[in-house]
Amino acid sequence: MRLARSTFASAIAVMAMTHNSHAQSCCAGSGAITPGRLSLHEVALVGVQTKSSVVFGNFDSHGSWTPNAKGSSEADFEQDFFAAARVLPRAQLALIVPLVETWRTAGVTDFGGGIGDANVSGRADVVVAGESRYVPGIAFLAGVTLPTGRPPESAKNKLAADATGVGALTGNFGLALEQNFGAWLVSVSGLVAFRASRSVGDVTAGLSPQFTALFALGYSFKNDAALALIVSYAGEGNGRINGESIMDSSRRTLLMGTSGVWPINDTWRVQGGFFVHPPVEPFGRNQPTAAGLTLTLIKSWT
Amino acid sequence: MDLKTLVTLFVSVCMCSCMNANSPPSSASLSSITMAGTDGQSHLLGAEFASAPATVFVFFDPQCPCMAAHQARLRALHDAFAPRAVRWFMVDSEVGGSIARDQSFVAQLNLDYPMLFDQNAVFARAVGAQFASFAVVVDRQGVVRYAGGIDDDRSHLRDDATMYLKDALTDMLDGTPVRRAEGKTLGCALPLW
Repeated sequence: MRLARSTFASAIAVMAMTHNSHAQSCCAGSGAITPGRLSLHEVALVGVQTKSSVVFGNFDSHGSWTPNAKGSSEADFEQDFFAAARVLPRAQLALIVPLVETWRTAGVTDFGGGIGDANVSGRADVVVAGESRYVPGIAFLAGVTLPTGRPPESAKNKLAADATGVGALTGNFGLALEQNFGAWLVSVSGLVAFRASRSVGDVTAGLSPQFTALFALGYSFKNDAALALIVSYAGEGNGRINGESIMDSSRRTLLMGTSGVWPINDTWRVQGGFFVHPPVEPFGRNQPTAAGLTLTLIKSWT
Repeated sequence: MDLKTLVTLFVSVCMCSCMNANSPPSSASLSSITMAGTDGQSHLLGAEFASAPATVFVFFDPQCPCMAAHQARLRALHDAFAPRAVRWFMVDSEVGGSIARDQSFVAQLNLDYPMLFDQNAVFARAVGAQFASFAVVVDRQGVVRYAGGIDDDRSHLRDDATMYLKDALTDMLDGTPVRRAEGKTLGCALPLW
């Protein structure tokens, strides 16, 4: 089963806007962790990010990890088309529209995809990272994930590989703190996602709020390239059916990754990364574990 | 805290988070500022202004890639305009700065002009400097004639870049109105507090 992608995608999308691995926030080094965030003087950007990942196991409801069952496998692909614009000197908005494809086998082979859950995010910088020696950059984050994808209950394929979304309207709110230490940047962010209940047939299904914590450490080189290490941990409580809690349905997942950015010039940059959900007990629950790569191309304007 | 409150808070932060535009500094306020220089002298800005047809100040950040990328271009501008009696200063307004640190930067960069230590960022606040590579050109009367970036490049310099600082100096020395009194600065945030 694919990771609850829209929930986490929206979380990472908003979280992604918080991160600037560029130590001094001026140049193309920003966004080694995230594609969609404007660096200090940019007024707009557009880009495309491709992701490919392979599921290699699963955490059950008790947090025990097992590898894929014999004969079963899953590969996930995603292309995110995104744009961001500065709406005030210290505020920006971004839009992400994902295309999702899933290849899944479990005795039979299934392939499907389509538009995923789109996300609109905002970021307001109260303190810009680097403008104070003693006070870290402080930013408020907010976003909405729209159920534009095909929810699992609407999937028609045998193995539901054509499911592309969570099916729930989601609001995300967060706080990001960043500080520069020479060429190093440290970033800590917290995010909470509220998912609206939805009707699935005759029942009302709801998800608990999801909490995500993200830590990133970045380093900027003199040529404005940058590298970052990222660790995030997300969790949510039990789901609900008709208001009743579903026992052992809570979810947790740990994500670790690296990413880098290479500025082609002042207006074009390339970003790439590797991520993995490590199969480390007890950091997972009711979630698959996957490893994958990302590659991003961005065009910006100042 | 409920959803409505969170949304209200976020919108409020957006509306309140505008950078305030600085009103132009007065000649008197700038002329009274004194800064210690890496040349061992104490520089009263009023006296500096009066001694040259144009005085250039460039705000420095040792860690900023954009600043580093522009050093060669700054050197070329200095070499072109210093013979025409234009005075040049680099300015360190960062919290935690010191004359000793600035002297090491001057040596590293092999600067032909002094760096001024702007303690408590007095000069930076007076002229509205917020980013590295922000340049200010002041005339003999202490009036700011140009304030902004060196050019419209960030860290990748182009031959066809718009040369804000060079244009301002050329216009001043030619006795013509400065074609562009402000230019966007693309350097890193200066830690001024």
